[in-house]
Amino acid sequence: MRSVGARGVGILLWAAGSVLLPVAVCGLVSLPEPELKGLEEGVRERLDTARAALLAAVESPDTEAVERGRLYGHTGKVFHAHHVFPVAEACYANAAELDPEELLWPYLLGYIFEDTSRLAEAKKQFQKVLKLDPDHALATLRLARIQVETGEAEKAAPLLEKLGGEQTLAAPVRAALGKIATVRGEHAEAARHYEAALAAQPAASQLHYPLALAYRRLGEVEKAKEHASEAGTAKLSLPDPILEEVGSMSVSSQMFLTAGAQALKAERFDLAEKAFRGAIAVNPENKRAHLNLAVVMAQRQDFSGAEASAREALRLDPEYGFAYFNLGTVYEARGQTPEAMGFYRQALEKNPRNLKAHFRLAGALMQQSEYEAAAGHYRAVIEIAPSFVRARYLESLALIALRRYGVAREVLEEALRIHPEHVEMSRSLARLLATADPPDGARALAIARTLERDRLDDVETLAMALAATGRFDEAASAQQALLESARGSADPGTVQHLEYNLERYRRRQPSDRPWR
Amino acid sequence: MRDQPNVAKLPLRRRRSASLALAVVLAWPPALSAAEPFPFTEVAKASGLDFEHFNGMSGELYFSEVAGAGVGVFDCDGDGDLDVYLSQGNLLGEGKKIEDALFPPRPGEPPGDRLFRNESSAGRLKFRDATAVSGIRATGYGMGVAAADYDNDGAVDLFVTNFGDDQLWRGNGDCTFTDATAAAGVGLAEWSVSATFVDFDRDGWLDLYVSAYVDFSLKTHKPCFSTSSARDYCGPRSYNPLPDRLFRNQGRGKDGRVTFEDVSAVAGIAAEFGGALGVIAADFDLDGWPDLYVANDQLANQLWMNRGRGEDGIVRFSNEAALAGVAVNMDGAAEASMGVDAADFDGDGDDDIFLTHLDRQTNTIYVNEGDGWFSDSTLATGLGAPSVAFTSFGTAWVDYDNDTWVDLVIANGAVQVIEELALAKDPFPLHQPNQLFRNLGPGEGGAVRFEEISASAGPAFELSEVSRGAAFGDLDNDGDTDVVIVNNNGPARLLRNDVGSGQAWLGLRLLDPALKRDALGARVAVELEGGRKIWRRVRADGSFASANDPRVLVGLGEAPKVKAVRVVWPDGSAEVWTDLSLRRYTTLSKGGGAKPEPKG
Repeated sequence: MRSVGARGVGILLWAAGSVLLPVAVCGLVSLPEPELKGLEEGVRERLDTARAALLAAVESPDTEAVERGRLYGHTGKVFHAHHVFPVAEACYANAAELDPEELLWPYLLGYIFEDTSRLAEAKKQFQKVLKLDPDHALATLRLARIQVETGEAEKAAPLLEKLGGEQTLAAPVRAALGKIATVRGEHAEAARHYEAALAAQPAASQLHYPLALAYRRLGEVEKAKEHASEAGTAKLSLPDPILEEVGSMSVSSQMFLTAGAQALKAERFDLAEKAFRGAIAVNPENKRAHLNLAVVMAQRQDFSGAEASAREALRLDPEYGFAYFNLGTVYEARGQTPEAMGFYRQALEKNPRNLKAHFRLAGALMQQSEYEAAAGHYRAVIEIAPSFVRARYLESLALIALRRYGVAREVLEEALRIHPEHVEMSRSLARLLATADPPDGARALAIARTLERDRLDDVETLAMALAATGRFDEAASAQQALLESARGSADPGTVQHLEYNLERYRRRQPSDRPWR
Repeated sequence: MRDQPNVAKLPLRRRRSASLALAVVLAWPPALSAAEPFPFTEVAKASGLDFEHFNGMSGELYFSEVAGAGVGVFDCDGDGDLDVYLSQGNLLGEGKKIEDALFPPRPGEPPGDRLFRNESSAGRLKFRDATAVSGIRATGYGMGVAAADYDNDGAVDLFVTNFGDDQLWRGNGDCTFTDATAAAGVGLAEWSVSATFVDFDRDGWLDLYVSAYVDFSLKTHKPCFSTSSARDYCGPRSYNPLPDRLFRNQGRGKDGRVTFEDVSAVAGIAAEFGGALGVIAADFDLDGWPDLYVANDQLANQLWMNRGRGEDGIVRFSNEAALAGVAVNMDGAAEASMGVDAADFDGDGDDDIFLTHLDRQTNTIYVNEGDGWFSDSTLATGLGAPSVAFTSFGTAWVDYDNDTWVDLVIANGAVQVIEELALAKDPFPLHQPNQLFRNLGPGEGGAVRFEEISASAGPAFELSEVSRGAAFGDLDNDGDTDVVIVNNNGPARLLRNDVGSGQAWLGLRLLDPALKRDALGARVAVELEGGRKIWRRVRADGSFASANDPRVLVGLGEAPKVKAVRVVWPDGSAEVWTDLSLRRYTTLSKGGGAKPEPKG
């Protein structure tokens, strides 16, 4: 039987090696010898070199135990940096054995246990760290968080309270306290902690969710809804200089890319930039790293930097459609719409199913009043992603601008089947129904009645619908009131449009112009 | 798993808990107790349920290879016992030959899904492969199965989900089937995994909800990498999630055919989606209209609350997951939801939700507070920490020991390489043991907690395999719940329950004679002396890609005295039965019970 990764693509990293099981020798464990062929070439070389250097040094009779411990620890970091955890784990265990006064080794070993879901072992290691340094904030926090997860919230709470003065850890500490309060059913306390955690780390959008639920429990439903709508995917981060130092030892371009992508998702643009620059430092020919760096630079409003990075990606691969798209977004952000449109078109030449390029190009075309072409690109978006309701709405606006009311109506009807509560689309559909020939007054009125009554647009829609059902007096009355409030505040075109419709209602005719 | 090193058969928890001393662990004998019978005994092969899943992997790391497969237990011939349907994989990749497979199928193993007929007698489980004569030709890349009588003809039908074209097999009542996919209008060419038949509009015809996963195909296959930069299987976020589908059953037309229409958009469920792997139907707010809970892989889950029939005659849903507290976990993090079940685990009369997840995430339990709101009670119930080391798929809340409280069975198996297993030269290093959690009932302050008892549950829970779908039902009709588990790239397992029938039990089949089928969605309250009510629901859905026994099996503990059984039918009407015999199955037909006394 062959193994999973036997075809050279190798997810099975560890299949070969002469010493596969860590065997206890004089209190030390021997290092596993995993097969590294699935890793990047540079990573393999780095790991082989580190292992060889370690073995040479520890075999020397001149090397003191503590020094050997440090060498094991350093090698553990190199393997840890490349996520080769079994070797890192063995190295840290040996380091801790040989260099027992150094708290870094149990800390890093504890981290590996935590990361690989061995919570009981992780707890023991963090407790060892705290024996060496009872004030070690990171170990305290990690221990407390594990205690919360393993049902020891009562033990965790005092540890977390002790960390109150640690400003850099304020967000994770308060979030953990919030979780404890939630488990205890103390929702006011939970809300207080989550608010503080969010204040300390506003980018951690995930925190809005437990906060929303705490407010929900307190009966503050509007606040709950507000936070639920703000809840996102950006995780709470735990600033850990020890792990950052380990991470910086990586020579894997792929790992930098992964770390950068995670940081980007968490909206930690500083970390994302660092990671992508790290990827480029390892492999300057990595087009993805350059392009991702461009994305980060654009997020940081550094459009010159973004353009330079995107152009470098294109230099490396002139067929790189995403790079063209990215350049388009950069030029659009600078207000250079025609140039942006050129880049979007080039992106679509490379990949005609690039949804974002179609959507952005359609938006730019709308700005240029090129409604026909815009509608075509919105349609392309819908064909790629049928549930993209906004594209349907914008397509209907392009069609309305082209006065193709019938087609616009069909588009809206279809879109509203997917999102029946979409206000803008409901308003548009009501107007189209009210101004059609012949009008569908009953449906128009039914929809118009679901709209708000304090918006000019909605009142005008209601007047149109009333007229379409033959209730001209009511329509004229509403339109008259609207006109009076619009005079002095609305632009002349709008006033003229309102007057036009008012005149039609007075002549007992429905509106024939859905928009000005 | 065939030809596996012995190390793989040891419980992974033990190896994990002592990874730096693996050699010591190898010599550690499992702590088995001879005094009490183990709750389950694995009897698949011995009973003739001889099936080995083929995942078709050839080293390309196609995403779909590690996702399947499911299993269904249902009575295809109306003889009163449960037959078994097993989904099968296929070779993936253009131009690939069977010899390219890393784990080729057994010689002579027929391709395609398989149907095993239950021929048990005198309590001895026995199955016979009836695929060849069943008319079923399901040779796509199988994912899962849903089972119910969609055409109200008294015979159970099957909806088979695939990585590719789904199929609807209309049952003829004798374990033969006719392909009705095109005629019924439910053919989907996407990657779908779980499905449920539910009469969401309460018109008496079962509708169909199909959970769609992501837009991965062999054409969109891309290289993905593990955190250590080596090639690995992709995750769902590497692809775009697909919208689920809701098909409304239009009933029987003039031509005699029963057809469906896709109402995903008009019913509102097309508005939000997240790559679903699991789905369950239950009336979470007890308003009489069945709701849907959708388990998405690494994106927020949906709770589609049924808003009932509008003035325009259309039944619509709205997603209330966020504010209800079931979209993401208590930290605000979307989890990799795969399996799902709903049941009243805490005895308060409403259905709670249990979800299975990836390792490094907990499995999650959402407790229904009866007002449309839920609480993430994973930590409080003790289910969090024991689950973080496992990737879990199939699951159900079943009262395995018939002590009146529903327990949890969880089928585990990783989707990415487990480093320790790889180190031990394991050829398929994804396997993990399954888990059994016992519901301890209300403790101090009324809180219900679970205790993991896998370590003392015997050899059936020492097997370490890549489990996926799990179907739950009383296959030997002895009054306790057995389990059929499908292992990716491994043999199917049948876990025969050997303890539940030692306690008293009440077996119920709830039948609507007008519809000639099980009353899916009906709720049953078994009222005990002293006033306690045990609520259960008629369902066949839940778990992962699997179909369960639609009968209701109620464990009654040691000293049961049943005062009455109250049934709330899907149309909202209620009936009461008294003097039902224990330790046997009884069919409760709609219209055959007494009217309940008015409240107050």
